Amino acid sequence: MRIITYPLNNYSLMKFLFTLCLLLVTTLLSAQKLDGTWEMVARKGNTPCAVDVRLVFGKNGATAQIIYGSTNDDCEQSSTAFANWAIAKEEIKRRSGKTDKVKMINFLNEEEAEVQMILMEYEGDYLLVMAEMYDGYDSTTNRKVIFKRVE
Amino acid sequence: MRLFTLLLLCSLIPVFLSGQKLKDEKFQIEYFRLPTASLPDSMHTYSVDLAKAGDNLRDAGLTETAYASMLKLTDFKKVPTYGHVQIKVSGAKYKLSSSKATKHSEKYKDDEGNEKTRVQYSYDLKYSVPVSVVIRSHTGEVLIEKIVGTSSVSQRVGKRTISSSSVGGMYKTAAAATENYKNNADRIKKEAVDKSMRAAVAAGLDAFRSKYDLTPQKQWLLFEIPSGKKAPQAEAWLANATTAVAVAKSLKANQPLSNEADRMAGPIAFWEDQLGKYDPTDKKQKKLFYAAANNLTTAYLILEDVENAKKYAAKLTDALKMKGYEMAQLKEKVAGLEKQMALPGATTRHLQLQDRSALVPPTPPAPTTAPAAAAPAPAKLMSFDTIAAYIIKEKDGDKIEGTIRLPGGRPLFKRYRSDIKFWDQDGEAVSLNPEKVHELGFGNTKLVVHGRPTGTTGLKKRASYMKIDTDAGPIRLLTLVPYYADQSPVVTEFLEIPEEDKLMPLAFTNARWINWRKSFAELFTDCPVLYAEIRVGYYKNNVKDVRKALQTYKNKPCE
Repeated sequence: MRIITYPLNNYSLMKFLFTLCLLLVTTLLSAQKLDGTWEMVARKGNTPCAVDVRLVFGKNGATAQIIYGSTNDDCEQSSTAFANWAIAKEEIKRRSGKTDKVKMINFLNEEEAEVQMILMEYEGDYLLVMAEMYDGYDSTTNRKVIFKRVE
Repeated sequence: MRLFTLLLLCSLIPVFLSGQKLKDEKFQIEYFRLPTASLPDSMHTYSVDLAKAGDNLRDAGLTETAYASMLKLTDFKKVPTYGHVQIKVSGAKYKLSSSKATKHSEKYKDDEGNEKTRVQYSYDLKYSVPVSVVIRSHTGEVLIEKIVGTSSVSQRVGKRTISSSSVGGMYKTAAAATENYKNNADRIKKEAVDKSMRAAVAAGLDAFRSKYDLTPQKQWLLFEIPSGKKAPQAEAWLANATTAVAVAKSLKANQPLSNEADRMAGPIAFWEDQLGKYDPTDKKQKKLFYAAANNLTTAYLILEDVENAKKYAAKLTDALKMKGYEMAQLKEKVAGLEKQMALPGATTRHLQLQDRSALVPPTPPAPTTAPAAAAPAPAKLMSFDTIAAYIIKEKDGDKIEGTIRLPGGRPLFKRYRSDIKFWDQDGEAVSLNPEKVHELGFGNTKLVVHGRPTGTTGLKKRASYMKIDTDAGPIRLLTLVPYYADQSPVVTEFLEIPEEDKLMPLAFTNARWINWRKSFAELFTDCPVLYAEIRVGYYKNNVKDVRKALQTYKNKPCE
């Protein structure tokens, strides 16, 4: 059996670099796409204030904000500001003991992630994350939450 | 200074005047709590069976042995298996109903007066460990049944121990609180199961013993002795109390009373003499009167003489205005003795335990042989159900009420087509050919007719029955019900969309199938939450999820 090898000529190199650039641009674009304001989409039920949440992602991972009660006049408005935000791949342990790599949206202050959300789906103007949410009784649960881009 | 000394003396004078000082001589007596019912003497063997809890105990890191040894009866002989009394413990499964990191937010102002929020996390659990203790006779009669641990217990996981209070157990991050729980999870489980098992064993055993067994008891009593330099006959009081205490201490629960009354006669005579000497209404004498009455009540309580104990207890009245709590306790003990002595056949609380070692446990019933396998059921003839039904012959046409005959337990149409009949209210048979029907309904089933492609080209259509699977207002999920003998479709589920004339097949042949999220979501633009849920992939392109989406659209609010 003969193994044929080809020297890496200029054309192949260009093709490789082009693919690399494309991949890089795609990655950067997909990371940048989160920039803007996102509003939670959920059934209000008896706790309309609990679902009145907005996320504001600054450009290029700079500044982020979680705003509560901004769309409903009856809700108390408050917000938490963060110096940075970033998407990182992290390992999480499932109940079965299996470890999976997932994308995390980290809201950072001084390089420490203060709020984390698992990025589950990113579909155009819709975002599905797993985040720890208040259940209205002074306790929290991990819930899937949908956000819609509003600006 | 003089004034202070005078005031001090004035305050002490009433103390000196109030009378005699008393000293308590405390001691314990032993006796049996008598059962309220009894089992025949021949039925005094018992066995303990923890097999049904065994796996759960081992799962929590515990063994059966410790709990088996707790299940101990006094007047019964323990046998390895199948006693006259059979104690069975089951359950002990640790059921965790809730386990989560809880966020605690607290607002505060920093040095510059800015309002900030401090966030801490605790890890909280809710669990239950139901344990059942059933005590049966060998004949199967349930003698005692106790279930504990069914209600859920809330606990916060602390750093080292479980604490139900909010002190401790707070962490900076949810991950740290969770990690702490993971490190302590096994221990928490073990402690919870152990606690529930102990509670169940204690509850079951106490209930059985109070009803059928002798329970060894100890009771604190006291004799009063006047003390101090001016105490009258202090030495005689002390000597008599010492004699009486010695009598009381020599009593054993499993040793019948014998000459105790004679040994107690001296002290009793002395205290009766003293009682007669003192006036309970005199401030200086009432303590001595109280001491004599207390000692006489106690002495007769030890001797189980209910009448005399009651007689002297009656002299301990509130009018004495002293030691109210002690008097009440002594009277309670006398009442307890009276209650026990009133039980049928009861004469004493001190009994010689019978020798049960020769008792033979009952013979376990022989295992029953499994019944012979039932003969196969004979082939059944086809049965029919006749139920109320309606048909509508054409769109916007009148409803024709009547009855339909259906072959019981068999699918609709196809090979049973000729067996299914519809009659109107006049008894006239009406054809169920889909070419002539627009809608058919009976029970919870509703069928509508739609034209479906036929043949290999798919260009020719013929009317077919479609069962309404889910009706979500304008959009309906339909399932094809084959009517014709040659109708064996691959795709049977369709969405009926009012704006579109044709049905949307739920299969890859549908163009929407490829770009499912966006195209399926477009059907629910009037329902923002459902629209968003479909966009992010809550409902996939399969019948189950489509049905779920329609049910959500129908039943849940859109905002």
